[in-house]
Amino acid sequence: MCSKSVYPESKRVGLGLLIRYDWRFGLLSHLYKYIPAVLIFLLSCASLQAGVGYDTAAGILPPVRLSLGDYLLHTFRGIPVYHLVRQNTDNAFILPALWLILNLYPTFLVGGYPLNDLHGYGQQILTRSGTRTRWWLSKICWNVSSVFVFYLVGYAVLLLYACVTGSPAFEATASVADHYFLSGTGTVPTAQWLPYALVLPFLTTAAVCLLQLCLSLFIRPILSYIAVVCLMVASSYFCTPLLIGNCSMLARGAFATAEGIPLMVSLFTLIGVIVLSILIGGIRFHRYDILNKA
Amino acid sequence: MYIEVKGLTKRIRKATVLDHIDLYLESGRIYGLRGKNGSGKTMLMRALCGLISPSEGTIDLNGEILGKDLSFPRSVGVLIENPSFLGVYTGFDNLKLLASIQRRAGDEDIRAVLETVGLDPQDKRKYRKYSLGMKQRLGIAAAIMERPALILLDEPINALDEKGITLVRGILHDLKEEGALILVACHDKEELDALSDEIFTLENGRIVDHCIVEPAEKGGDRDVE
Repeated sequence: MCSKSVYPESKRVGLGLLIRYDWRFGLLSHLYKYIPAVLIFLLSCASLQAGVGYDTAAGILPPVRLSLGDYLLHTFRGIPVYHLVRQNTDNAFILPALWLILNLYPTFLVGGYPLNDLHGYGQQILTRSGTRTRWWLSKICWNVSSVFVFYLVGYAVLLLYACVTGSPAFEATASVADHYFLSGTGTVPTAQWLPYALVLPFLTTAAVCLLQLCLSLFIRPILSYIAVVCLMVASSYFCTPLLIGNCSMLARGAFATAEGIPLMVSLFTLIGVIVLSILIGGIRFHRYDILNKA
Repeated sequence: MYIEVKGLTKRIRKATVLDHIDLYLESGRIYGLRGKNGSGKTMLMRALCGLISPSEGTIDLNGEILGKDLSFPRSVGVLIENPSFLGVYTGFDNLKLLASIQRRAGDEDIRAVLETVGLDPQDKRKYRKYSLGMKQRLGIAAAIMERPALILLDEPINALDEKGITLVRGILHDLKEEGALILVACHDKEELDALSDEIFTLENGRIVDHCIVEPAEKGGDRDVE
């Protein structure tokens, strides 16, 4: 008996349709998860304002109006290059808590969705999508979009806070930069450090999230999350672009310190990690067994 | 359409879950899969719809090799293990979202298939409020709403009442008459005998028995091949 379904064979399913599904159910329906992002950036701004206020009252700093540039430098500072010498109180290693939270919260945001979706309703989407490649590319777009929204929210908070409490200018206050960012950086031209602040944090987080997504196809998602946490902690300890967390720490940029990482080195490293994560993940997903969660 | 499976083997870690399976399936027939828990029925279904890739062997769908020429069958409806939908949507909206991907079924088709499986298309309840039987019916609706050429149903009568089982039987026979290739896994021996034209029995990932159920003898004695 010849077979003919009532409908013709499946039409080519556009990537756009899959991306819209992921935006709708992986991003827009979880916008409340960006509330902590607002709080993180607010906390950063408030901590700088409080510190400057205290130092001004103590006569350490002249009265200043904090600018957007000051908040950017403070928020994405990280910690200066750490040198392991004989341990003493002057050289104690302190984890950059704010920087870690800033970089790890997005990885927490994007961690669960792709594989959870794949083990549930997403299987129906997947079998209708026609190819595994389209599904993978759609998840890449969703992943990067989620990180983009996180930073959009963050930069908006910084800008609003600066407008309300000081100035929306990108120029940093020299005394504040010298005191709070890194000594000797008060005179660095804005055009030199601004690309580090506007591009590298987003690109670093995108690279880390895509790396996590790729890893979760090889190991369990919770383990891939632990792996990126270890990567970021290691990045704060050792200054090398291979530990890509360094790329988002402004205090380790080449404009800030002679041992710092140049902008182009960071860019190439991050783009390399992004491309490799997409390629390796795509190859892995092509043969990935989709079984129900245990 | 036809499906030709040659030497299909699947190993997961150290376990062989499918062991050199050979099958030839063609459209216009209902094939039953029988076997104990862990015998490989669900794994075979996952392999046939492209959700897992074989360790060895090939799955040929109309001359195209699954996993090489195709990621998934071009026209397939699937209900494997528990149905899963979006809890915040109604049944209708869940199906509408799925239908929007390939755009082969419109609102009228969705309403019709919901009525066919015994669900009310106007029901405003969200999926998370559905009973088990309703969820199962919605899963069947999702699998058949686009009238796919290949239908894979794993335990479709789970949680269904007598009326629901009769409904499913009628639906599958109608789809078979339209030329669909249907593969059903079921624990209920009598039900599988009543539904199927041929039955494969799996044990430890292998086909250990294959019988053809003659139309006149469905539910009675079987012709054993």
